[in-house]
Amino acid sequence: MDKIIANALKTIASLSLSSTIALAQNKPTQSDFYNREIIPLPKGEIMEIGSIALMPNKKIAVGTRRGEIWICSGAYETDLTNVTWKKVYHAAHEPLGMFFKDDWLYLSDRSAFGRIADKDQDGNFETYEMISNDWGMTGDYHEYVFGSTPDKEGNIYTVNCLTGSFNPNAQWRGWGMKIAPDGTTTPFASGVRSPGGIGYNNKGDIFYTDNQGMWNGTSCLKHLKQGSFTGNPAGNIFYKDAPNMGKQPLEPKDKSRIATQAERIPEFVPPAVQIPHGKVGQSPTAIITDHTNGKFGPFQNQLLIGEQTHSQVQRVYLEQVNGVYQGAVWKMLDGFSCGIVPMRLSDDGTLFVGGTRRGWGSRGDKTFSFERVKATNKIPFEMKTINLTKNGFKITFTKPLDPKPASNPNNYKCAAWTYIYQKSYGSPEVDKLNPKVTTATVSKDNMSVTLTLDKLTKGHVHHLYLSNIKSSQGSSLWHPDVYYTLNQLVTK
Amino acid sequence: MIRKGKAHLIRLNTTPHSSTENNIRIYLLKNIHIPRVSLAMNWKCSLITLQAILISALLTTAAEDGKKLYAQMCAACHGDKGQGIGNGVFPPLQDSKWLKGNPSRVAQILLHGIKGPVTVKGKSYNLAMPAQGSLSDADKVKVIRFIKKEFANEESTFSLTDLLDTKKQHQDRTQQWTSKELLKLYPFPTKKSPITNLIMKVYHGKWRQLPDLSKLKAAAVEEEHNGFISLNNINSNNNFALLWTGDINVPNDGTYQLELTADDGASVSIAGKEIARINHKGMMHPSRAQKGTIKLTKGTHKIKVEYFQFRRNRGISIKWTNPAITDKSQTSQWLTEKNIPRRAAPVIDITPTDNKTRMYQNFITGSTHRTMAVGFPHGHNIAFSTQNCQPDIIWKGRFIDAGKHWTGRGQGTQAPLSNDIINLGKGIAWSSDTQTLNLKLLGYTMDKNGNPTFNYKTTNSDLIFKEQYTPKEKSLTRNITIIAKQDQKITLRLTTDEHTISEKTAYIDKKLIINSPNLQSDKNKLFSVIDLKKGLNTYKIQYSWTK
Repeated sequence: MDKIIANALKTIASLSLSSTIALAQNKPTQSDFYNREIIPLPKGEIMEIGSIALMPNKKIAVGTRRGEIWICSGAYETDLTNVTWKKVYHAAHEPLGMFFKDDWLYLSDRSAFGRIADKDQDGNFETYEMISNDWGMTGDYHEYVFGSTPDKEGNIYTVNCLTGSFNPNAQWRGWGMKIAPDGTTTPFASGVRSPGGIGYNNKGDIFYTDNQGMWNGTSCLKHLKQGSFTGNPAGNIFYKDAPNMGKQPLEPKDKSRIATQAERIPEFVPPAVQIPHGKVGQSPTAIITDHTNGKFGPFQNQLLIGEQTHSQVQRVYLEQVNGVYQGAVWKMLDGFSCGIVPMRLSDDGTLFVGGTRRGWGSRGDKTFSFERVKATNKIPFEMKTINLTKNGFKITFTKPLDPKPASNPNNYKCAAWTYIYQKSYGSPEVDKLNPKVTTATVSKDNMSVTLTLDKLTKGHVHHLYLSNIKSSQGSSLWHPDVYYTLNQLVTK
Repeated sequence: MIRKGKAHLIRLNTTPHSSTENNIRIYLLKNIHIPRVSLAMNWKCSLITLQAILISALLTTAAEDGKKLYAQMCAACHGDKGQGIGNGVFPPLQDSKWLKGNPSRVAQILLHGIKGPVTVKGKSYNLAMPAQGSLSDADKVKVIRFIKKEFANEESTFSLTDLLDTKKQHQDRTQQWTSKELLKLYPFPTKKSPITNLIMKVYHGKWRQLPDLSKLKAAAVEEEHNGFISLNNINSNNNFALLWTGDINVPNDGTYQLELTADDGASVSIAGKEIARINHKGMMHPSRAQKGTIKLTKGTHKIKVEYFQFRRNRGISIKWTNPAITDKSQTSQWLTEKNIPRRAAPVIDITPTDNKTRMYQNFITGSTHRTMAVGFPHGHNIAFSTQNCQPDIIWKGRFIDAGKHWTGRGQGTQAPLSNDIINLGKGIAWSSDTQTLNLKLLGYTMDKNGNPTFNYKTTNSDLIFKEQYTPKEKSLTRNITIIAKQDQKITLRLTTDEHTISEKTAYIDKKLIINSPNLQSDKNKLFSVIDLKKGLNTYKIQYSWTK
């Protein structure tokens, strides 16, 4: 009896070992590719993190919604049990943008863009210098101000939430502003509703995330293009004070479509990427570019977008068609312990993520958090890029494809829809279409596939589901769904 | 792998490791309806069959997803459809609250097991379930995600990292959990609302009956992600109205009854039809409850709820009932969250206690929107308008309660935490002979005790201001330094609100005494005229309290 059992166990052992490997390849999970770790916070402190700044010597500053600035050491170390914290400042007003430059910590908070320093080197940041407060406020909690890091000339950009998230009750509510190093503040773009973050793409163009609401059918990533109108007309009453912006754009027509109104209103730059509500996210926040040359996975130059409600990080690939940004969003990282607001990616490929869910719930059930994510040495089998072609899409992959399923058009399901562009809050998915993928051609190197669709629709989100695509080693896609916002058709 | 397999085999066949496992074994053998996999474990089976079944069983364990793992590892007791086995001996998982919400609750049961009395769907069970050591951590994740989806209709994002996190939190635990311990750590979540895409608009105004909100301009709008109609995000007791709109999911065709109570008034409409309305102000009382019915088809319909609050108590509750459904747990459901009587937000008193100065930048009742409240030692406090370079409010005693701004969404203005408050008034304090002086904040520097010196300049840089305060036991001294490019006369308003002023002594409302050079008064407002000389000028203004 013992012998039979022992034999059985040997067989089981060898079989289950090999099948474990097969399983790992078939059903990829996040921990295969990325490790998420919780960075300990100072005991007993309420650290609702709204901003993060990377500092020299592997120090990190975080700004809390209570207005405190803390500096952390040890957050890069393998062993996170030795992390230490020091409170250096306490008088900011919900800072939602922070960076470090030339011994100063620059803060964008509700009342001003300014900077703090520890001139006497005693560990407290005792010096505050105000750089700009050239915008109005009414005492409304929703009047958040998100500030960017500096561009090449040292300018920063803010996006100023509307009063109560929909009224222009004070100057420059609902605008993107440019602040020069000397504090000169000029209106930069209109159309802002309720932003959640601001950041650059790899070309240095500035983008912000805007939440679903009035004139925003679903949450989205918007290009904050100089002189443009980005979609919510509430703040357009301030054109009279913005001579550099030219004449006030035409009022958009209610219950229309973005594509229709973008043709009518020359200043209107449509959202670069629509983030389908519920399906992908509900409250997009931070925007950062992966500049780590592969240290954070195979997505160099792409954008990582924080997501507050779902406690996730999404990935965005952008391209320009006829000079207009558009592109795709994929789900990427999930399971964060709190709603994500700020993120920073260090040069060594560590993603730092700050969380708060006070006032707005999140899937992650901690009230606040500080976490980091590092890539493992395993590369996920994923769609890497997706570009619109004249009659379909070209998708590249992070690993070679098994050409057989990849060249079967039946393995690509497509649905397309758009949103009502309207004054009331949000929109259902409308004008639904089911374009058919008619051909799928795999490249010679098996690294990409070119799809032909029977119909491409301007202004629609095109959702492609790659149902049965495998890598040459038999792996399934980690995330088989992609959502491409088609603002412009390729005509040439 | 061998050791794991062996342990598994032994536990289920021969020598149990603990009395707990012994219990389980006994139940398995007693069980009349033994599922296929348990059958394999039955010692009566031939060993050849045992070998074959074990190989296939463990193979699928490794190669298949949570569903297969569940069938193998869990269904023996909990039933292949989560219905529970043994005619009420083992608890069901289908629709069990234990699977709802935080996945760590289930993870901890798989990691350490559970013993003692457990209530599931209203019935008490008194068993012991062992830790599921034969499931690898990755497999546990798969099982958790499967059962949450299958039996609790919850898509979970629970990952291996999450499992390792929760495992680490209780890594020293050797005992099985008790129901009480687990629910203290991971309480059951609140119920799911049938309403999605719920938007709440907030209106300010004084009404004694339900206003027509469609004609009014909202002050704020929010998406309420949990789908419940609730006042819990509204931080006020007086003079507001709310309008909720959303999509309500109607589970079946039928006639639905709706019951509304509110303090003060409210109305509910579904699919464009008003069902119940309480028009006037009044309290939440059964005598004021309004009922109505509506015929609805299965699917999604628009719901609109209007509400207004006059003053004092507040609340709204809406229950809807589908009498056609016989399952009592399904027939009626609250669309509202439990009314939590609004207490003032928890008090977070940030009065400095260490003889240092504390600053608090937020919205202070009676000051400008850009204001730094400063709490000095000896109980002196000011709300310093950083936009106007002057103290708008001065008070003695405790500093400020940050509770309102540091909880919820942080809306509203906060008054000082004291009864001895003098509103000096907001508005521009400084003027020259001809015009008001617009001072631009340059910044501030804090000394070692955190006491700030604020720096300003006029737009043309003709004047540079420094303002600092010295707190002493009996008084607060405001030290102003002005660097002037030329001789000039300027006026400093010390109060912009009207007060009862006794001119000779400059008593303000019989509470505060102001001493300032060249003090004058006009229409119950105090001011000083300052003769600036080219270069450095210094002034001291002393504030002391009569008590």
